[in-house]
Amino acid sequence: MFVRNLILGAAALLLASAAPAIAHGPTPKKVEQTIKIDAPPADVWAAAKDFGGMADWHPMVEKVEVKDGTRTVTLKDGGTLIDSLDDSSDEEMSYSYRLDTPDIENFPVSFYSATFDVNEADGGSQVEWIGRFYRADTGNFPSETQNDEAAIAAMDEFLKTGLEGLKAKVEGGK
Amino acid sequence: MKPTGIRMAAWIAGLLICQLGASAVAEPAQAAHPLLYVTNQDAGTVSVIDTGTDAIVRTLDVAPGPAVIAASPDGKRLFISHPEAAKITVLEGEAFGSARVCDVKGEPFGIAATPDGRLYVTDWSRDLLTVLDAGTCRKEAEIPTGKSPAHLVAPARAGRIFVANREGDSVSVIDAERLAVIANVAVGKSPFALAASPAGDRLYVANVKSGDLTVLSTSGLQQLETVKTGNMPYGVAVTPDGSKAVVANQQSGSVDFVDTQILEVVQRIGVGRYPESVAILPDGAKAYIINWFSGDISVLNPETGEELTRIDVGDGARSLAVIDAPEEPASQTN
Repeated sequence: MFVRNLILGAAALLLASAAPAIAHGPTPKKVEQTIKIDAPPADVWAAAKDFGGMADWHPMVEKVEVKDGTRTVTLKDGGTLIDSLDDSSDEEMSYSYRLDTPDIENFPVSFYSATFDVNEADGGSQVEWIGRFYRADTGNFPSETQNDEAAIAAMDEFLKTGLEGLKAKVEGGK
Repeated sequence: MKPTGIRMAAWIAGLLICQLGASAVAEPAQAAHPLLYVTNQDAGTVSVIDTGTDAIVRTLDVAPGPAVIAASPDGKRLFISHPEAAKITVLEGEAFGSARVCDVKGEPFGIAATPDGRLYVTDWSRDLLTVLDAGTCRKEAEIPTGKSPAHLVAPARAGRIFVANREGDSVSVIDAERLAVIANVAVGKSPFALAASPAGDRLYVANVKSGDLTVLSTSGLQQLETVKTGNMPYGVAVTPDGSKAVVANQQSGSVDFVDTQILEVVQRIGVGRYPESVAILPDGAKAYIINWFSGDISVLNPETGEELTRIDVGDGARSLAVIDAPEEPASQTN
């Protein structure tokens, strides 16, 4: 891990010196949220697998309508995200989807693709929700509400809050 | 497959062997291997990987936010786009140790150099292709493209430049002599990356949203086939013998091998998360795929599809270019 550490060290130094200057550009960003749930993976997957079922457990979601593999997610605070399903596997307890139609006024991300994955962990479950995304304004001079920081905050909050909601729903329903 | 202690030990052993080889003048020089140059967009660096050992041997600091990297046809220069900084870095000289930074307008992204000394750069936000003198960065022309031009390719002997217009669902075809648009050809939805056959007669365009590969004739511009791939194909390269197109499916976490004779996916293998850019060695022995989310590179045998190893590069690895090994100087003692 010597080389990795060297590189990370160099990266940290560079970031420390250049951070204020590199807030521009269409650089893809990463989000990764995980949560442990005290229930068998099959139960967690059963609660979460329905592409149109997110309103049952996601605290930020008002309702979801599904048609032909596309879901329209209405947010409680206003706004709609239209996602399309790419893959869903009961065997792997995983599904992947992407943003078809953004709503950057309400959710400052121009595009994302994401995967929701349930795995066995310590006799219970670990749910992992990851995504790759771009900020709302991919030009070089985004406003504060449409920059990388705003996009990262929105994605982090949406996935984290969702997983906490799912945990509460599954563990509370035992 | 994270790097293990064993692999690290093997790598250190490899380093030692290289050191010994360098000092043992009487021995025939060990064949040098091509080097792989990988941009790290988050770190603002370029990792140099020896494709003989598949270990990182050096790290070069460059300007912040390096995105796409491409080599000049003679292998003497490397060009890097910095979309966020509106800059192009030219690495040249001994071990690419000299960096020249050129200011350009807009958001430079895709980049390609041709044997006539020109450098072509797409501008994502201004919807055009900028033509520069690769030696001086002097601007020669700006050519309109479709919306959000991403990657581009200059196929051998075609005399044309092909640009994938990500939001235009088209490929712009540009006459490299007149520097003028010949045509805009409709392809699948959201074309991002493209590659040409070694003979220069065919173009393979990876369409991110429609999840397929459009195969075009570079002369007649007719569509030969549409090949269904995995989800969100973000990278494509063709083997040096032209027999296979290697496609990285970002959303599926897989690589498709397309037989270019029958134009079908003949093999699909799982790699890391969010695979993107693909490069293949000049001898066709290995294919390198950057797994963007995993922060590593899958090294594949294009013949068998087997994953040979995985190289840890860290967050933000984005693009890669191969520089063939220099010819070995004639041995003085043997």
